[in-house]
Amino acid sequence: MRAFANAKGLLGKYYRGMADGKRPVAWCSAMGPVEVLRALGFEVYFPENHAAMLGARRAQEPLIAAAVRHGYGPDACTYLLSDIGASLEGRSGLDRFGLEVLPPPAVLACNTNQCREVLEWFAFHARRTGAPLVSIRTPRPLEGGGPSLDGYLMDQWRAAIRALEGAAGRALDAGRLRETVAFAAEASRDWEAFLRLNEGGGFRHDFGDDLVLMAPLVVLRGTPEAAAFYRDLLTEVRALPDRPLRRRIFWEGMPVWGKLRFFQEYFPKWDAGVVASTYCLSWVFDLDPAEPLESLARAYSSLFICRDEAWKEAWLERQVCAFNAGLLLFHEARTCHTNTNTRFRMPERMEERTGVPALVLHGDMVDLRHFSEAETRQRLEAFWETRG
Amino acid sequence: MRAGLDLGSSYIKWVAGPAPERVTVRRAAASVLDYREALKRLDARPGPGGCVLTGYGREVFPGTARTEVACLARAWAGAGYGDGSLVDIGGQDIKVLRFQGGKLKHHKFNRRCAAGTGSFIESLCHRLRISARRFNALAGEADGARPLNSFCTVFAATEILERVQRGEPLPALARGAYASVAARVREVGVLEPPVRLCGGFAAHHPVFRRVFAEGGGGEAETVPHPKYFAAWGAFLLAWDGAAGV
Repeated sequence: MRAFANAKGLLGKYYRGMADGKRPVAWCSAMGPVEVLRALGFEVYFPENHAAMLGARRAQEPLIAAAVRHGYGPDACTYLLSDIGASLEGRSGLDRFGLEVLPPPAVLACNTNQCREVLEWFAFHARRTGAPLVSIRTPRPLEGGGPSLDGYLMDQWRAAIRALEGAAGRALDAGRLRETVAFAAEASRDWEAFLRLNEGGGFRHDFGDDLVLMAPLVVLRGTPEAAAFYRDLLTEVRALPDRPLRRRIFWEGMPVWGKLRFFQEYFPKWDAGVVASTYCLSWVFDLDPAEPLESLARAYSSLFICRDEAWKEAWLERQVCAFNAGLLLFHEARTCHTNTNTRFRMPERMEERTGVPALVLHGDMVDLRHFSEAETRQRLEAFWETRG
Repeated sequence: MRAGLDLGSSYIKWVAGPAPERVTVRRAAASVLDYREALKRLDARPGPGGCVLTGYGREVFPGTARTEVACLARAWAGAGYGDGSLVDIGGQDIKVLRFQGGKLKHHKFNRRCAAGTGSFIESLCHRLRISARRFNALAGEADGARPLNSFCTVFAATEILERVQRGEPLPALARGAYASVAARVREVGVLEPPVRLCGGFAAHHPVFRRVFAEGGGGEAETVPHPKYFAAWGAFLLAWDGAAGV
């Protein structure tokens, strides 16, 4: 796919753009107020993206050790541990992109919609760098909306915007916010359309492809470059033929960043493929440039990760059905407590609800000591040999 | 002759015979580091035809590889069992398989932890400097089990040593270790009776079956030649021809 080269070029430009130090850099959580930061003129850097890069490069182990030495618990989120460890050791996982030293933050902004860990993680960087920390405190798990929740969230967003305006030294321009939200909405819409090309019997891209191709949506959300990238991606992949696939998998949970190649090589041997995932579909946001702030507050509190079990199960049922999955594969990530959905009997309930078998793999998003290729193969092959 | 070879994490098991209903060879050897060396000791020659490989090391040699679950399911059917549950306690995992009318309906594995597997008791024996046979005999002598508090394999051994030093009877603690394994088995999955045990652990620790029943696991019987059950399933698959041998 041409899109892989486009993504690489785009990311290289993004990271190099931060290295030149011309514009102040805001550090933002993945599901944080990135559109607001961009509209305020910040370059935006994402520690979670950095942690995933460290995991993909398998550079995590000494960094996790450094964070644990510093006093963090070994069972804490390994995204947090590896990124904090890199900071303590003065290491950058982005040196290949020209960022030998991570850009110092002018401000840190996070949203607790994902987990409590992002707050503790950003608090570490705030203490270490002296930069102000602005947080939006989204409660979890959410059953649904309602006027009191909407009011609370709007208050949180408005307070965060005031603090970020202070850090930027300028007022938020309503027109620029609308424009940024419009670019984010467009990219998100095309990303979803791309993912849904695999619905029914379709198979044009797999989880490994998706994890690479979603990078611009993570780090360049709200830019015209990201919107153009997804427009082109959709056009390119729409023109591709479907590949035949016997065993269709829906992946629930975090990726195992250091084992992407293992899965990409292993699944085809069994004529299997991950046709869709909660993780990639979580980067679909219902944003409306006509009411940018309200839709940001709504979209970032409607994520899969911040909803309750009943909502998640109904959503998963719709996806398993839409993507015609024959297996719902749960990844029990040892250190990702919030985005692991195996610990309260969801796999069993999903099997009962959908009739589609569920299987649990044990691992971690970053720490490969919690993952075994042999054990993973054994579980999958036992399933396929006995249930087809 | 056709054969089934179970390349486990602790032992290699080799079952062979001139007809599906006629097993003439059942041999096992510690697998440790070198499977090839262990095969020589067994005088086993797995080839691309006539042998089905299973177990942790099933892809080490060329040939038809099937998972232990598929082989255990075949062995269950081969034994003529109908409804029920099979518990396989191996060197590094616990498998619970549920059957209806001789067909596999569901299977589950333990979580990624050695507690409750054969390695748990193996490790205790090593720390206590006693054989598996002696450990089993000690557990058989005890009037009751003294439960262990430690979940972790390493800490459980330390706990036993400390408690023996304080004067607690080793037999009751050995029985307590079996009770820990039984508790782990019951966590893995629902056991529909009749329950049958297989695997090396069931073979070398027959007292475990009694402890399992005492602890609420229900009466269980051990399948014939429990250590070779998966290898026998592989042997039957080799004769089925369905595996492509």
